[in-house]
Amino acid sequence: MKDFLRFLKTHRPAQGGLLLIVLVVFAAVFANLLAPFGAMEAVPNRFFAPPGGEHLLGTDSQGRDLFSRLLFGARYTLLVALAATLLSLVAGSMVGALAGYFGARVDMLLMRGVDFMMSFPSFLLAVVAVAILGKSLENLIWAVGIAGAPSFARQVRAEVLRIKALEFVEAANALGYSHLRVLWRHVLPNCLTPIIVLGTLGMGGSILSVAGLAFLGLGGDPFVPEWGLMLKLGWDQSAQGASQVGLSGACILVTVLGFNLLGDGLRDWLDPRTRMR
Amino acid sequence: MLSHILRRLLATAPMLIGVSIVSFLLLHALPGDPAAVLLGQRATEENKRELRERMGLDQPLHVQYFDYIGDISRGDFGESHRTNQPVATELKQRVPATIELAVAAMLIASIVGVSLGVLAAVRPRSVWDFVCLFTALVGVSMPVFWLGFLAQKLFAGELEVLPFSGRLDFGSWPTFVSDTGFYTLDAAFVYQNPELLLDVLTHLTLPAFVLATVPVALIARITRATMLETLKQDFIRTAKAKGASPSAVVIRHGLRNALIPILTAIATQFGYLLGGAVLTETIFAWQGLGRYVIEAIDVLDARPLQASVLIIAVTFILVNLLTDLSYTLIDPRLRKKGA
Repeated sequence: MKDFLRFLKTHRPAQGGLLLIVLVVFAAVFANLLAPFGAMEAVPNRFFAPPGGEHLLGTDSQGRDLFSRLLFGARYTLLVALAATLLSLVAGSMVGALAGYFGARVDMLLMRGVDFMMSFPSFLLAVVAVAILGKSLENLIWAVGIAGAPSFARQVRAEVLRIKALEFVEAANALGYSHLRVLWRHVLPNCLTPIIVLGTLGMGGSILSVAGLAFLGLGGDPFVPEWGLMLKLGWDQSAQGASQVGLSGACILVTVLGFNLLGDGLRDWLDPRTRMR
Repeated sequence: MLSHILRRLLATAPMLIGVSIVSFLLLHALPGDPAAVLLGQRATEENKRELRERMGLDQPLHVQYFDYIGDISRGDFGESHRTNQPVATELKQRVPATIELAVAAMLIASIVGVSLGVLAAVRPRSVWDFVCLFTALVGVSMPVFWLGFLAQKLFAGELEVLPFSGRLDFGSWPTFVSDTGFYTLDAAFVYQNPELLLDVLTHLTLPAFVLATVPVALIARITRATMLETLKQDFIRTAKAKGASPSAVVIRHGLRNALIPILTAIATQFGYLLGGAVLTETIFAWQGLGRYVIEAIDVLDARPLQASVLIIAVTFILVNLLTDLSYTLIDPRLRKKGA
């Protein structure tokens, strides 16, 4: 950790990324304190109000305060993306770890499955998954989570293969620990850093995928203040919804930018070749 | 080398079978009974049973699967219940639309991405390097549908230099019929009308650039990284010492050796475009394969969905196969070893 802070001091892009993420997380956590209006609170007869005055960024088609909805949107967007990323991470890591640790047939079987999933473009995979599961924000989590799992599986497998060959694993095996214990207590903790990097970059990807699917009308309830759904709602109202499209898209861009900057930074930090410089 | 090619071909076969099984199962995986979806809410049990029999849905799954494969191999993808048209007929316009868009985007992405990457690698820490890194970062963080919206507002709404959406201004060309589905080719070679071609190209410009965003970013990034690595090698110093011109050093000795990772990136991105085109096609009302998928999902139209998924996945697999095989052509070292 100390090591990381020292690295962060010298790495400007990672600082910027972290700052953006902290801002968005702050907005998400304190949305109900910061927002002047509720996310669903409609002011009667004040549709499409221009920015300024009581409504910092104006109102939407239902007379709801855009600024407030964007703040609550941070909460929804981050939670949905986080859930999807965690799903990819857990499912992918499990598959990758089992494949890498047990090798042989287990490896063949599992990785064939992973290769097979990778023979579909991942966004298409997510689209088809939503088609099967039904349109809703929860199903977007499953769809994006499943579609993102194969890349975690590959990375974790490679890492487990590397660590399995090290002496301390041999020692743990020699002590007669069960395979699961060795895998869980000794191998996986040592794979944690690359998983964290992939997870950080994965957050950016998940936010984009969820927003994209929501934009395609696969997100279910259109009034939930998730940024992708808000963008879609504004888009459907053409000219009058333009500011809503512009603002929610900008929020998405800034947040994804944050995660990508930080993720790239973390990767630089972990990669000994770039670390030397 | 031959054994390598054979092995790769053999490894592709189970993938293709798997993809065909998945697309087959989609009919049953979509919510609702296919017969009930087709007949609507007021269908009686009797009607549904009859239709199921006629569609062969009362047969065991494996029999249905082989029927499905048989139909496909004859080019019969079933009928869309939304339009009552054979899916194969609709695909004849949809697939070329997406290919045209994807190829245009890929051309833009390859040219811009590789040039940016090379310029950045030749002059590290210059303005070009900054532009390259910035593009690489913002490109992958960009919600493309949002970028498309902004581009539309600016170029079509404010400046009025490019059309809003669609593939052609049919108001000006009421008699235009595209037999191949490739508007550019038909305008250039069948109609041989420069004005028509110009109209087609201006319609293609915005969607192609928007679709190229993510690929540009990734290609630029990979090109920069591999070129930086390559230009540090000894043979580059040798080439310089022998008096090769700077451009020859960079292009003939540098770029050629950096080509494999770059080509991989380009091919992977082409696969991404097939999936990612859905968003761009939605913004620009581009009647391609991606829109077809979404329109089918909206009304649970199984046949078009099955066909589109199958086509996209098979193309994706074949593109990856071709990339893999092309390495042997680019890199003589792989050829000799027979690896």
